[in-house]
Amino acid sequence: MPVLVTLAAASTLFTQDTSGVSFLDPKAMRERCIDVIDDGNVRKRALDLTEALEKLLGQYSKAVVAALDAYRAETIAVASSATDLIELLTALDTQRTETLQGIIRIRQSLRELLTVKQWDRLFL
Amino acid sequence: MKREERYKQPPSLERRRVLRLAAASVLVVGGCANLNRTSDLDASLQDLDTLLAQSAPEGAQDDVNAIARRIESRARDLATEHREFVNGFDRMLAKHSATEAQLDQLIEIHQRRRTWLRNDLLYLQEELRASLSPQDWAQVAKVLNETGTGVTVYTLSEV
Repeated sequence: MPVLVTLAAASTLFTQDTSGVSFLDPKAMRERCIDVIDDGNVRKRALDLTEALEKLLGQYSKAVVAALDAYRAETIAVASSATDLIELLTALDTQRTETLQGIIRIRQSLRELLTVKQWDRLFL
Repeated sequence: MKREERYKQPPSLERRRVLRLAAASVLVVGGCANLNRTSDLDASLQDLDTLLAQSAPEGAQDDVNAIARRIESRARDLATEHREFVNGFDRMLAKHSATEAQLDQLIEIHQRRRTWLRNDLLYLQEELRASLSPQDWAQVAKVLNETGTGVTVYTLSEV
């Protein structure tokens, strides 16, 4: 229990750097795409990618909540050892890695879709 | 002293102090989660220091306080590691020239360190539990569960 909040804080995937558009904030990225990319097929595909990003991060958030709920239940119900708790959190570790790799894949698709100029307008 | 023997004796650590110490630890760790609330973090640290200073320098209080300090230190390490990774990863994602290989490498290094810190924190928690009587631990767990649930919900609502 004493480390519950740390586990929660260290599991989230959002940035506190608000100076620009972020892959970790799909809603803001979506708005920015609408602002800086001309209406058309490229914009539509870019918006599809932000939607995929939102879905990916949403699934991860649900996994974090489920893992922390399981952790709480385990530590309240039984005197779990550290090894038991590590085992319990390992599935979340895997999902975290897959989520981060998923973000990279979406970024790669966006990178191939946009020109350097469009990319810079989106992120600078 | 064996753990069983310790449990048969009256609690050596005054219960209220244990609870306050535990609550202060939560606040300290919660403060680490938000970069913009350093004043809250400082206040929590001060509170924790006061509580530690009030503890007698011997017996179980020493054990518990030492573990609490190690938990705090390790929790800070983990929070810092997490924050630096997320900000660095985010910046690299936005950089057009960054390659997939660079991003993969950043993830790999972070995951390795994160897992090590997280696991160590769980071992320290186990040590803390072993230092308290089951009754004290149950009280601590109850308070921390209530506080932790609130902070967890708040933290996740930011996602």
